[in-house]
Amino acid sequence: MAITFTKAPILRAITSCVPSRCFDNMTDSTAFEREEVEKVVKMAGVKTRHLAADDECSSDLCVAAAQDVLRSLQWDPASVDALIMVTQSPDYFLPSTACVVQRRLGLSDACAAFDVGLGCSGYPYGIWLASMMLQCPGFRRVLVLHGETPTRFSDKGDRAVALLFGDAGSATALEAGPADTSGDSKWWFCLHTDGSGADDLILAGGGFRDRFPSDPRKSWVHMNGANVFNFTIKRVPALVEETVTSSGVSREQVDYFIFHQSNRFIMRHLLKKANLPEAKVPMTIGEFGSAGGPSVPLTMTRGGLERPADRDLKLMLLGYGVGLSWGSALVTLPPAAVLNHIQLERPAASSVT
Amino acid sequence: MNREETLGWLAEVFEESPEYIQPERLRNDIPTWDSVGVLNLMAGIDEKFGVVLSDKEIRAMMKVDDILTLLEQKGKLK
Repeated sequence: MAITFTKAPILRAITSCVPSRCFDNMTDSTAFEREEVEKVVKMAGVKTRHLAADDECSSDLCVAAAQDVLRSLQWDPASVDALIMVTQSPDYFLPSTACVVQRRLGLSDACAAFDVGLGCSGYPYGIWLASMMLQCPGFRRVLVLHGETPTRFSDKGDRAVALLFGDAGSATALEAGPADTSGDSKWWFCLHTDGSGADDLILAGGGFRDRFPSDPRKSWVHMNGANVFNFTIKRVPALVEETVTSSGVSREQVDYFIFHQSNRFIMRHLLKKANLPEAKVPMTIGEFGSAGGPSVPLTMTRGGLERPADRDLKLMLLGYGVGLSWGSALVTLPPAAVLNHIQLERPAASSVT
Repeated sequence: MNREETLGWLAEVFEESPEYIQPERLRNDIPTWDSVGVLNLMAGIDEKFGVVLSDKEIRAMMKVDDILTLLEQKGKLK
């Protein structure tokens, strides 16, 4: 059973990064009737979104975010022991985007670097992996990068997704905690998978199952909205309950529940079902749209968290979606952790060599 | 809820007048019964009746009466 905990590492910094191009659904949409746009905006809650240019990749957003993290912490790049790149919008099938990013960040060749191919659930998984690694000898500092550019794989004419998605990247810096494991110093994780719903959210073409699809629709993401909705209402409230029960930390003791920003309407329905107050569930979907899994760190930096100077915040991070895959991480955010948000202003660096 | 009350509630879900939302009204004649309306309907039925509709059940609904019949079959209407 993938319900577990690790010794708590120290969350040092998170930077989120979005493309500079901001798209206002109400004023900039031309593919749909105004009435249609109004309806979707009202329901999904997405007013604006940041869209990657054709030559901007999730790696570009993550590299900018990671450079900001390294700068703000004054970490020598050579001191980073591992880099985990969580993405389903990689630069290439091969090499791993993590390897490309390792070079661009100037990390040492003694740094472990690998990709994790998860989407909406990716952040809790990435934090879990990093936390485990930090319990191993030799690992002191780990960067978790999580970036997606869903606007680059969604059909601009598909109303179900076209007005919903935004692009974002993030970098999270974690450091090994003190040697003692007493008291409250645990991070909890609950991780799940149900591959029977793989077809419900899928980009079917371009992989090795159908490398050069004859049906052009297979080059865009397909979502079965009804099935995905049913998946979320079945799984997410249960995930909250499972995390609370396994950790022994009550809903009241959690300062914020940081949801993957899927759709405002669905999120509000989930809150009711999970018995959570809206005040404890920050939403950034109005400003950034649904940026996939990176919407979790994006909501940590831009969700307006009130941070007391004298104590850690307890956060439950919740990722759910494509896979189907879902997971939670119950973590602590110290007052000293640096939360930052930037826009990618410079042209993308696209060459490997 | 009985059938009449449920009809009134469905009128709210589809943002139409109660006079318009009648059992024989076709899905295609209700403009708000689109992909957004389906999510509203699914969330509403889950919240009001504790029933999770499957994709197959959603697709099979062609008129308002199909919603009422399904709720009756699930023992949710008085």
